[in-house]
Amino acid sequence: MCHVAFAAPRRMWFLLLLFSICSLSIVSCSSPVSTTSTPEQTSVSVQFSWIHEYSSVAFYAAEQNKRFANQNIDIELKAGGYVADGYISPIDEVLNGTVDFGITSASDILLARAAGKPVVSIATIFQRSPFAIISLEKSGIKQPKQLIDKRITSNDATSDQLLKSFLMLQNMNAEDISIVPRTSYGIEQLVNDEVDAMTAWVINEGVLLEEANADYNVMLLSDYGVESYELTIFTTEKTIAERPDLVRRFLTATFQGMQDAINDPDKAVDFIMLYNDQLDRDGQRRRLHATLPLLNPPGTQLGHMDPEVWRFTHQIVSQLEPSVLTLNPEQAYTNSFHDQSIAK
Amino acid sequence: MDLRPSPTISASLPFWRQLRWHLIASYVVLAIVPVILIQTLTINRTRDELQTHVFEKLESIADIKRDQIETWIKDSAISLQLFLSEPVSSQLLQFAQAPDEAQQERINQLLKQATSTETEQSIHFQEVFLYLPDGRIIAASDESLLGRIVNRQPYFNASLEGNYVQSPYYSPSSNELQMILTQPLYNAQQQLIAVVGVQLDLSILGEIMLSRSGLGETGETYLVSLESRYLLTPSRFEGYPLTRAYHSEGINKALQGLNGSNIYTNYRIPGESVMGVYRWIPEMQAGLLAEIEVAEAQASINEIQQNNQLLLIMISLIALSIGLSIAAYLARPILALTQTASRISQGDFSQRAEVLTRNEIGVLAEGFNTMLARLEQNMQELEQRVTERTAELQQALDERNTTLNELRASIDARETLEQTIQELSSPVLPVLEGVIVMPLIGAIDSTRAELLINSFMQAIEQHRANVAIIDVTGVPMIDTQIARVLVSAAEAAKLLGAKPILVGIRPELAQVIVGLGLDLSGLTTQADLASGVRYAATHSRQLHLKS
Repeated sequence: MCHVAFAAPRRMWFLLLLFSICSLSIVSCSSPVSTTSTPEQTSVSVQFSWIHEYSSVAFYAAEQNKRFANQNIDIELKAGGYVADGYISPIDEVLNGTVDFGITSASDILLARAAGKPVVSIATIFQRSPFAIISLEKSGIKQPKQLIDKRITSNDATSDQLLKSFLMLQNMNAEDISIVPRTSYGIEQLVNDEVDAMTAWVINEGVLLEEANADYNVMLLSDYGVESYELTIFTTEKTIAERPDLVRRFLTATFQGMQDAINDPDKAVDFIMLYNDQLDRDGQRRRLHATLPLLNPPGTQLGHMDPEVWRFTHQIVSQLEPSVLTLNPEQAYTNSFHDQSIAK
Repeated sequence: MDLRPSPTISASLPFWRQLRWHLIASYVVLAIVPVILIQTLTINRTRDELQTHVFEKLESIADIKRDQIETWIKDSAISLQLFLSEPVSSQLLQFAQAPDEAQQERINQLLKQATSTETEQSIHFQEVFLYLPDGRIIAASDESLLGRIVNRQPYFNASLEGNYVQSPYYSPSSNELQMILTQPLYNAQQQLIAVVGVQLDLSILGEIMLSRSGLGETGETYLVSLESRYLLTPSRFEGYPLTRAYHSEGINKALQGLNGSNIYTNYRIPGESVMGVYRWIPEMQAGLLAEIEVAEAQASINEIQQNNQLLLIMISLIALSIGLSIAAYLARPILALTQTASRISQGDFSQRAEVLTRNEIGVLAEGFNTMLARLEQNMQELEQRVTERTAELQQALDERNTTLNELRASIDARETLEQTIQELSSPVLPVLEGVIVMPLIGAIDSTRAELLINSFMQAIEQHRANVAIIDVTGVPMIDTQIARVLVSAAEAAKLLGAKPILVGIRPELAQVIVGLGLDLSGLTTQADLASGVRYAATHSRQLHLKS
């Protein structure tokens, strides 16, 4: 009886000890959470420069993998491109407050700033420019000097300027080639032999040619010293000044999404199809695989922008729009959020 | 002596209590237990040894392949150095210092020669190009490279400092893996004039990694890039593209710069384990992994286990058969003895145990038989004595029965006599119609008193008497008990409808009655029998007149 009489209190003490240890563990585990202030739930919208497709894969992966949710961000991803009223300008959408962030090229940022629009790039999606001079193999154009006296078409004024810079770096002049206006956004002009070469994205028109089983040659402009950031993430100076924490959280989630896409491209294609089921899945897969080497090539960091590229772009755009010349390119972008985001 | 058969001695014992099976079980246990013990002790050791052997084999394969890769890189660098020995070096320097369009084609051809020769070490340069310190390519084995500026290529800055090996990376322009070796060219004043870069043919890497000697059905070796965690060489299994990040403990540790081995989760099949060896190859900025699925690696252990189980079954069967033979040999005489004992227990003493052996059991059987013989003899003698005694007893019993019969006849005669006497001692006489007289003569005890009352009652009923006279003239002495009997007889006569009259009471009898305090108010008394009969005749007549 004595044994029984002592056994019950001993068991009780043991249970109490166990309970105390569990409680302390829970408290110690939960204490960092309680001491860390949780950022408030924020609605954030992003205006893409084009329709929902592979180039925005980082955002899709970030949303689908709950990267934004983990940053307490309710994300809204808005497709861009052309509508009835014309092209949706991400810069205008950001400036008029419709969206918080936008995607556009570094040259557009410089031109906007020259026009007095206070927008700033906070990260780049592509580390290397996808711009290339693409020609059919039968044209025999494999090196720059073979472009002399050839018909070339390019997208727009910026593309023209990039082409001119390319020619200049190759000790050639614009007069050495014949620039033909672009009449379609596909590869028709090239395939129909209306032009000998075209400036285009290797990850877009290049893949189109591949899908058309056409043999083609590519001169990637960045391989010839013509580098540019074609897709940068930007916002307003005001947002940067007033909501730096939101910018950091937004970039953190975006970079995580970008890394997710790099880590599992096939899964990333699934995500793309969730946002636009009109796309050809196989085509998106090919485009995404062509895009992956541009995102984080050796010697670069996700999203980080090279001041040298901005200076080069500044020079090019200055030739196109003299008012840009007075701008300080250092003010058109910032890597500070990138550093905080990557560090985090 | 209880000769009933003993229930414990029976051939129908359950098998687990039978000696034969005890012996067999003992032999099987004795044979199997050591085998199991030895197997248990050796199988773990064998597993460890086999595991060690597999790891050693994988390490050996991994080291060989790493050496092959490192040798390939070194040989490539040596080949480049050899190519850049005189006079090629001077020609390239001269061209780089003063690019002359007229010399362009010749220099291109010179570089092209380097791509067309393949060494014994399978070194093959896919592209060879010459670029200036600003990154501009001024000559190349492939003319399409002319004009390119490599200043943003990952190898560019390092290539200006000295010989450099650029680990494999995906080229944005070709979207293919490429690996570059560079070697700077200096003038006599040790000024950097140009750099020669070669693009290696990476197919040799795939050949090295896909060589499966000693890797079984599930083994493979592969390279994983630190940059993207992509595969640098294809998996031998389908469904695992190069451009996807792969993770496993082995991959993670190799990419942390560690060398080692362990059992960890398969990068291809989550939930399945591989035995893996990992090596870090700094020149490639990649991890080399040699892995084989645990299931296959341990297949030989399973085979050994299966063989052991087969051996165990065989040993068991052999032990069983030996056990059966020996048990039969040992148990047969004992069983024979047991069966004999069982039959004896059922009363058959003529049984004898079969002496099957000459050992202790044989001696026991002989002793048993001797004991049985003596027991049987004793039993026979005993039975004879019992028979004799029984005959004697039977004779005595017959005599006794005769005596008993005689005695019984004597008793019957006596009883008849006694009945006659009793009948005579209680006579009841009808003296008139409806009048009876019961004269009592001699001493009256309690037995006779009861007899008298019964006779008196029967007579009243038989003769339909109205008057019943009890004459006690002949009774010498009346005690208290007899007095009560007389009163009871009178009361009973009343109940039967007869009027009782007591006659012949002598003075001493009257005294007793008075002394007893008996109530004789309902009883008529007369002095003698004659008075009583007259009274009865009168009384009886009155009754007839009334009726």
